Amino acid sequence: MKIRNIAAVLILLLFHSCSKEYDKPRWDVSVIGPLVQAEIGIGNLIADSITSIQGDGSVHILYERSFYDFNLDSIYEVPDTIIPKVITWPFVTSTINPGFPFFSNNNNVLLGLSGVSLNELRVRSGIIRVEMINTLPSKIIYTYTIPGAVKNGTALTFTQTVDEAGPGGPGRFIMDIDLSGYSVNLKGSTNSSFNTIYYNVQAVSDPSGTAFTVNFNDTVINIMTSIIDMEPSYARGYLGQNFIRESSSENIGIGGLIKDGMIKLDSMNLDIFIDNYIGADARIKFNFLESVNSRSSASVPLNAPTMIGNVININRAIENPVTGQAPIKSSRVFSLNNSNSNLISFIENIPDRINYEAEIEFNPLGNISSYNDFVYSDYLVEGRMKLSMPLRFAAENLMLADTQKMELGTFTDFDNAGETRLKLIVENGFPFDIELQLFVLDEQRNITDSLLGPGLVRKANTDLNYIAVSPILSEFDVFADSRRRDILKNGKYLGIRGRFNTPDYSQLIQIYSHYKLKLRLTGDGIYSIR
Amino acid sequence: MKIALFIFFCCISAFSQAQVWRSELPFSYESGNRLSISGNYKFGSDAITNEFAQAYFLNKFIGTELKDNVSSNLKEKNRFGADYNFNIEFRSEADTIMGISGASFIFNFSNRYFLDSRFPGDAFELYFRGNKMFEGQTADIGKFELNAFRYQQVSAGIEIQRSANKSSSCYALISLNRGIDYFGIRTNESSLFTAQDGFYMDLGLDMEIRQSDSLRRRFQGAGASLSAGWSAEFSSSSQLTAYFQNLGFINWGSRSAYIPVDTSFRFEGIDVSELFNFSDSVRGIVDNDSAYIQAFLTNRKKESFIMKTPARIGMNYYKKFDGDRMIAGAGIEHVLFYNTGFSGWTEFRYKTGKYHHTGVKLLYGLYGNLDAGLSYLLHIPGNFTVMLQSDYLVGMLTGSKGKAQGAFVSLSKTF
Repeated sequence: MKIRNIAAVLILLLFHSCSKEYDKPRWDVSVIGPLVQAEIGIGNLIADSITSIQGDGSVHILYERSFYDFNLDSIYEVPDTIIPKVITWPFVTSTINPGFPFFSNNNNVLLGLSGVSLNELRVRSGIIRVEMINTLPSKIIYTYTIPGAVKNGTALTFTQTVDEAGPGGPGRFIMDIDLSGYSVNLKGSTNSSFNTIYYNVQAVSDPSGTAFTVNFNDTVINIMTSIIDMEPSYARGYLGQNFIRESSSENIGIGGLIKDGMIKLDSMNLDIFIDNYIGADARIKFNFLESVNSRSSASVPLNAPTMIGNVININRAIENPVTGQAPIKSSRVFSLNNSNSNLISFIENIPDRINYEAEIEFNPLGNISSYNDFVYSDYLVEGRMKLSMPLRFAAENLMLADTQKMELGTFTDFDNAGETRLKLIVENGFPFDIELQLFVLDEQRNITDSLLGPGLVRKANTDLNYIAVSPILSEFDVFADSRRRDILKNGKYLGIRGRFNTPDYSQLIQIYSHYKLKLRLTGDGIYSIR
Repeated sequence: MKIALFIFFCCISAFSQAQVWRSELPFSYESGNRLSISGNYKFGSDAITNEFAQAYFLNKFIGTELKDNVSSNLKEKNRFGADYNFNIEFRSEADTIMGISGASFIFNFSNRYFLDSRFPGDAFELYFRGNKMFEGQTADIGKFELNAFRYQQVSAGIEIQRSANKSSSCYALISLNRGIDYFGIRTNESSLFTAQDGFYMDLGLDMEIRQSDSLRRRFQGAGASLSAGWSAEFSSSSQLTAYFQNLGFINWGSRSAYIPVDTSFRFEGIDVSELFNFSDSVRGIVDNDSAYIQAFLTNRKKESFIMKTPARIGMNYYKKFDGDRMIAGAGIEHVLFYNTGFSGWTEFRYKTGKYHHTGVKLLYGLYGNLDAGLSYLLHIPGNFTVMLQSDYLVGMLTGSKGKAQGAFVSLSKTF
């Protein structure tokens, strides 16, 4: 009994001493070390594809983008078209024997095109819907053919048996035929029309049925043909003498990132290309072209007498002998520079949009191609600009801002971090000061915390020619406690804002490819091991 | 229920002191069949304190004071180890085996855990305090070794006792080993330099990691061990014993992981340059796995490997006084292949009455501690014997300074 008691006490004590509070032991460590680093060169700020490095390492900008795209609908569009065809028996009462082809007829469908006279279409997408209604007392075998619609060398045709009329009404059949990839002759059944598709319908009585009687004026053919959602990829014919006035506004790249400040630029060249890929002569006039800075609401019209306000005649493109290739375009180029335009003012406005108004007239001399104009849907009239300039500028309070999506909500390693001092070390090899700010933004892009700033990243040391010769280090401390940790975890975007100032504003600074901005973030804090 | 069973098992097997002979007392030659259950646990270190080990193994919070107590013990090289064992043994007396009289068959089942480590002081500080204290310095993390494994043994053997004039006995056991799990790390010359302000870290690492397949829990490895001992009385009052135990191996299966790392690199933070790419609307993705892990844990293999079991070799000498009322003895022991050192001990036992034996022990060794222990043996009517023993009472009773602990308990019945 005594032994049992001792054993019981012993086991109770052991149970207590062996009990475990958690799954793993826990302790705190003091850690210090690098977290992230970045090296930002001119390649990060401006895409490689639009920069070129000169022999001396200086950076030039070669920026090319489209600013004007012609809309095909301005020339023509194929509206949805519905053509019913009802034919009655033109003879006296007759008996139709089984298997007898009692009717054949060619029918034209005139597409609702206006202003153009087309003799060929190639269809990118669209359907032709055929609905057949049989009111006769026997099954009828219909053969429906569009001889001018050809795909892979075969004309579009199908044969369908439609049930006889009964107590429930006439026999009925509906079919959608995909016209994608078809080339369609639009000359009609006489081969002398325009904008016209023709089809043939043949009706044969059921060979296994019985003879039936048709009376004068009985309906023997009742067919509804619909052209639906047709989008051509190519059209040929006469495109007419369309006069089109278009005004539009195009977004352009980095201007949207710049939020404030002034910039002064060096010399530059801007080539404006007007490319005509349409097989019709054109006459184009740009009434105005202006750079728009939405932030400052400033607009600077391009003042270029050789181009703006002048009528520009452009010859027609010609078909490419290589099948499937773009037509051979006809182009006009206008080279603008500091001396023949106000180009610098136009660019220094830091546009985020280009507004323009253009007038274009096709075939000003009429149908001189004898219905051989052509147009590809993907190749129309395009306006392009190609800017070439050294990356040499002066900036005053030029502010760039951008946001980066971040997802730290599921980053559970954060939970173990205690109070931490983050140190941002910036080594600036660029010859301009940067006031750097980092923000945390919520889903609606409202600022929930300011991680840094504004902190002044001092410019690199420069020589007398304002060329950076040695980088300068700047350090910033960021204290992260549990409150800030939660804000970071709940944040959806990281906002980055930099305000740039070159020394002695208006003094132009050349940027070289070897300039770097190096960032290093270190952490010094408590981390709980669990 | 599962947790309660685990705790019960933990506690049963936690009273430790590995049994080196087949009976609890010297000069004790028992006849008949015998069934015994015993368990033991042991922890020892020349630096890690009991409190610290207890907090670690019982998953408690390890505070600064616990760490400070360890740090004050740290030297350039340090050791710690722990094990627990649980045994069930049945001895069946046979009249003769192959013409040999006084022979018995022995059958044994053991469940064993063994942990052994050698570590530089900097490695402890780095692991438990972080690298802040090494700012501008190099932490030595080389010559680190950790082995932790669990295995089971099923043993069978023969014991022969002769007690005609001068008693003597010997035994031999062969064991089949079943590996349950293994984890091991070994580093050669390795260091971590933390630059001032944490600007960068230089890691030089020459390391091997081995781990048994964590998915195949049923049968991870197999092997065999051999144990044997010999004991003889030189006169009617003195006895000399020599033994080796558990000399063998476990071959861990071909799905075991082997990760050799021999690298030297500077870490300056995850490169996030792509995040600042204003020129591209498609930003790069920063992959911290590739930055931290793949950089040096690239050479992973699956291969089998052979691990030696922790074999013990030792000898002891006992002498009786005043009939068999008092016994004094001394012995030495060494665990082969691991980081434990030689241990030596001396013991005095006193028999009070018919049923009670008490003993006191002074020992030095295993992980370099001088310690003392007590034992108590009780014969209970019905041929039951209970034994309680600890060799590390000083370590256990000196509170925060103690660096060893252990206990042994057994219950046996002869019939």
